[in-house]
Amino acid sequence: MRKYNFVVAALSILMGCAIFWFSRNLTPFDEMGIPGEAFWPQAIAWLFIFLGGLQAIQSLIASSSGGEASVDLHSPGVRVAYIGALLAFAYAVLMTYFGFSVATLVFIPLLMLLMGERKPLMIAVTALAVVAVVWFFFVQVFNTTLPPSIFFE
Amino acid sequence: MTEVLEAAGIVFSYQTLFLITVGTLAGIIIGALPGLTVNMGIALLMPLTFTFEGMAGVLMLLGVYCGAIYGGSITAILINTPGTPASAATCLDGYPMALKGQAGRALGLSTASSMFGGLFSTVALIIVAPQLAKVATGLSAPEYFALAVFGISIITSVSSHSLIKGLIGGCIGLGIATVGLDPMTAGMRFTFDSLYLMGGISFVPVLVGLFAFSQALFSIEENWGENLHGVSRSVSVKITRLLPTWIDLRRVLPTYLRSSVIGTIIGAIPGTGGDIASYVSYTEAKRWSKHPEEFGHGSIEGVSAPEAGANAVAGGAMVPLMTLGIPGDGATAIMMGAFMVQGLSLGPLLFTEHPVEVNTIFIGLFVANVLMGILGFAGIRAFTRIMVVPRKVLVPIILVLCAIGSYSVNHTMTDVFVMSIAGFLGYIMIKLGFSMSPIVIGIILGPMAETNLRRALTMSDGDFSIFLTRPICLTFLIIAAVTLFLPIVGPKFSAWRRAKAASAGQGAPEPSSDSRSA
Repeated sequence: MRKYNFVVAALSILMGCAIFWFSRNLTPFDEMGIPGEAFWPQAIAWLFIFLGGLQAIQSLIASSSGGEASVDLHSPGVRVAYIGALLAFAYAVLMTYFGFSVATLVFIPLLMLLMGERKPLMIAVTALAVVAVVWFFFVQVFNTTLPPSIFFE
Repeated sequence: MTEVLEAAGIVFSYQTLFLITVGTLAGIIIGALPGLTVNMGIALLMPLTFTFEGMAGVLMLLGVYCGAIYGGSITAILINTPGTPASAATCLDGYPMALKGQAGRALGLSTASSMFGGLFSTVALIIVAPQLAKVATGLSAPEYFALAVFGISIITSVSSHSLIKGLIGGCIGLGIATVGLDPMTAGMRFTFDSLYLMGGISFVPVLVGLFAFSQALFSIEENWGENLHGVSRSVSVKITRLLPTWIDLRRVLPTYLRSSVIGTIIGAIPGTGGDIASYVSYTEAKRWSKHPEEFGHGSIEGVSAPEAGANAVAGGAMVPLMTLGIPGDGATAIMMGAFMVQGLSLGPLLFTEHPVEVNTIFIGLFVANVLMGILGFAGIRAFTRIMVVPRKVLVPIILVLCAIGSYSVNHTMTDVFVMSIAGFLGYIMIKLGFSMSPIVIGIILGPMAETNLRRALTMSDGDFSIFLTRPICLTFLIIAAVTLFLPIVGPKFSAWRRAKAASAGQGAPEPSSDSRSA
């Protein structure tokens, strides 16, 4: 955890600096001394920097006393979750081009296979049922639209 | 009176009753499924509320809120796995009862106590909230700023792992809320010439990502572990009688009352929640019980107390939310977002400007709790089957709903990508010890804090002493400072006191055996 706590501290400070950089053209105070557009973001930026500093100090103290918990970002289970996230991202891309139904009929079987489901009937029924139920409730009951394919727009 | 009748007309309309029932049912199912939380349920269904006109969508979310707290008790009793953190205390006596073949009795008592707790806290809300709102109607910009700061200060209480990371999370939320048009001058801020960012980062996809998408990734990870070790969830207990007997009810009634009072009060304190309420209720029930020896071995009071306490939190948490606009926890923060989208600005003015909506919430919460009880008694056998739905089926459904829910807010795929990115970052952040609730609180309360800070300083011509010269404002700022620093100073003070007591004990002469026996 120690390494990651330092990364968190560094990112917090970096975030504060980034806010300062991007708000450099905004007005912190107007001529009446009343806060302008940059005041609140820059106050948050100072907080980021202060908390980043505190996090770094706390990590130093905790590592010297050996009171650090471990963090799991690389185990096989976590890697499977990363693949799941990638699939979900690919699902969003697929949905942009091919619309809800096609993308979902591809995404659900892939994710179920990733999660260890091997029964083709179960996979097919789940995928079709989800598409049908979502379409019925969203389009028919709630009267909203589902993502269309860009080829049919 | 006209407002009450109008509100009753809204709640008892065919569409609204249907939606509250759907919401409550969805809440019970979400609560009954281990790994799905109250926050996740509300976040997942929140985008749906925008498709309904008026208050119907908000009432559906109230149904989800009530149902999910109760639903957690089903798994707690049957498989010793709390569906939500608030049901953890229910395991202590619920599961031993199930092992003794009394699962139906335990489920019946938990359902009855959940309904009692929910209804009790709704009555408390109806009595207390308007009075508190009357006191708060005289507030202006400096007081609203102080209220927002107080709301933000509860971040320290909802940060489960690290206080500093909780505060950094709050800053992330505050930072996200600054993107878009400036609330006072309408100038562009951090938009990078993007048309999407001009409207600000839509907070609904962010919430769905943080609470639902990230949890789905955790479920994928846990599923991998379960596959590896061959773990499967199954219910082998038989459920016979569900309705509590009169003898049981007579015995647990004082526990219902005591726990409901405890739950309502704890719920009304920002930064607390159902888990605290259920444990405090359990401890008090044991302390006051005529049969404390039964606790931990299947006590009917032990099952009733945490459930009544946890469900009473719902009404209690609505008190600061509706009267002051302060969300007490992640769930109420998400609901506050739903209110905002419906054009309802929570706070004291809600009671004077939107009396019909206020009464609709009161009656709707009451109906949601009654429906929770009815659905609980009627569908308990079905819920026990739902809770063993494999993750392999559940996770794809959740991820599809995350995507569709995010899309349906603004009908743009950009929101789906925002949701996915927020969810993945949320997953990593939870791994690193961050809590998601501070981020939501920051997003929701950030604009309120900034706008009122700048309005107050416009009122005082830039003089910051305006916050110290107004008594209510100063009081809230002091409470905020105490809330912020108590979790830091409190444990250190306790440790200092313990160390002092220990050193005093070492210095004192050892008592004789006579004095010990005396």
